[in-house]
Amino acid sequence: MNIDNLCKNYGKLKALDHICIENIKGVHGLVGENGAGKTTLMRIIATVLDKDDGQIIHGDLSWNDTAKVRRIIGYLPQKFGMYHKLTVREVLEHMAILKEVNRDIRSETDKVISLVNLEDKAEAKVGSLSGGMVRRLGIAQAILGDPEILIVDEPTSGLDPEERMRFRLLLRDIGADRTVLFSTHIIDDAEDICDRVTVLHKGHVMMTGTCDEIIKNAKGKVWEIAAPDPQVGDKLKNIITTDRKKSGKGYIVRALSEDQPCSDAKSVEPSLEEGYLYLIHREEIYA
Amino acid sequence: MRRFIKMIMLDIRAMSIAGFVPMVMVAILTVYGIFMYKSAPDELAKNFVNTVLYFSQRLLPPLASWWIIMSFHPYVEDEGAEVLFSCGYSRRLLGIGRVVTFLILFQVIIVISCAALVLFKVIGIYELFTFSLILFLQSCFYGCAGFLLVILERSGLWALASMLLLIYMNIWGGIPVISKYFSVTVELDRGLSIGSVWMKLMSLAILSCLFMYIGQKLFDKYRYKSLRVKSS
Repeated sequence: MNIDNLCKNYGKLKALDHICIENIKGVHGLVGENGAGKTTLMRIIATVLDKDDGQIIHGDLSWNDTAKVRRIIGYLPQKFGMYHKLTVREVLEHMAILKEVNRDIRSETDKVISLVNLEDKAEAKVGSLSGGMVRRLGIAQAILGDPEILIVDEPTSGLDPEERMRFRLLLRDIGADRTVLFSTHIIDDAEDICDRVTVLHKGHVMMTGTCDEIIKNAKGKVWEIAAPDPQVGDKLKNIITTDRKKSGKGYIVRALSEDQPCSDAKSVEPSLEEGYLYLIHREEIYA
Repeated sequence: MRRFIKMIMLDIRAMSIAGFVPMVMVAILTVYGIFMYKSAPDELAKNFVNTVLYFSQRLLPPLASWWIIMSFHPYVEDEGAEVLFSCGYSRRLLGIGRVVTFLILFQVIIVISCAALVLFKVIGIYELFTFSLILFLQSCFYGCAGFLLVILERSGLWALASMLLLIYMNIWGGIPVISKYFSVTVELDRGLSIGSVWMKLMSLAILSCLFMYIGQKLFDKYRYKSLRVKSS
């Protein structure tokens, strides 16, 4: 899938400003802070929101042909929780009808129920499920009919650590044989699941690449400073503090800076989070 | 077609207890009418029947919108309604198709109720036809109005509240235009003749088609309401 010069405005606000992402395949992460444009981009790809300008293409298929696109996508929005009075199986049967799944609905729903590990809750009402289970139900409805592209908007936010881990494994399994576009602001999730990541910031693409490429970007820009004062980062100019740990009587402060911020600062290997922070705070560091 | 019917059944199941409201209301009015007719002395029986007919004609037609409004609730209010709009299912079937199906279902209940009234000799077979037709056309009007309201107001609760208000005004009075133009009632004394209300019924039929058409046009372009506000 390729996204070319995609634009979306809400009044005067440019939610997406000439977004270009090439060769989206495997598990592709969209990372960015709240308001970066992730959900808007997801909704446009899921055909629930119109673009103002630009193109999305998957093979020969253009997103101008909404009806055809809807046959090859599965979508899990940020908020999912409908038909609380129906059972898990009934919701999936309902969705299978709406998605015009050609195969036998019963066997198709059984297949996705077992894939997301909800067999023992198949006859339970949606209203009685935990948040994590509802999210798994959301994934189940999204993969009904084997869509070529799965769009998942911040699926792990608000989940407890165990559910989050289970969800990451599930997404990785699902992504083995289809394109999964997955948005998050939790960098660990992106690092764990995604083959490639696009960093969005204020409606712009800052970079698209593998996690290693994003990390590499911040190489030589991450510094560790041993100091008695935990606020040392705030006193130095043009640096962004990324971590602060207590060490003996003092503190170890990790910070992003274009140059060595002080004489006792030593250069260290960046993490993906620091690579991401470097991309979105680059201008502040240069200033 | 089988799948469409299955979807309608799931729609009703999703309403839970609320899905039984139209059936319960019709059943109560029918049983009450029959019971009062059978237990009242002859001279009072006609009065009781007229009372039941009066309430039936004012209360039942707006109830036709109940299932329609409730079935659109997930599309306009529930979390995750975005998912429904990302599916490829025909909007026409989801809109007009569903409205018509629920109207037919409602008419089946009405006809069963009227048949029970005939069986217990509360009304005659000719009156059954007239009474059913009057209720049918009024039900179409309220059903289509309910469809348009739920799409316009983007809220199932507001649409239901509007319908309840209409029922209230239909029975206890309110805006005269409602009872004058949108409410048709006939009495046994007048022989349950549709001749006197024919024009009114025709205008209700035309208005029903118009509401359905506008409702569908809006639904074709409808987007989940949270998409209208700023999103990240």
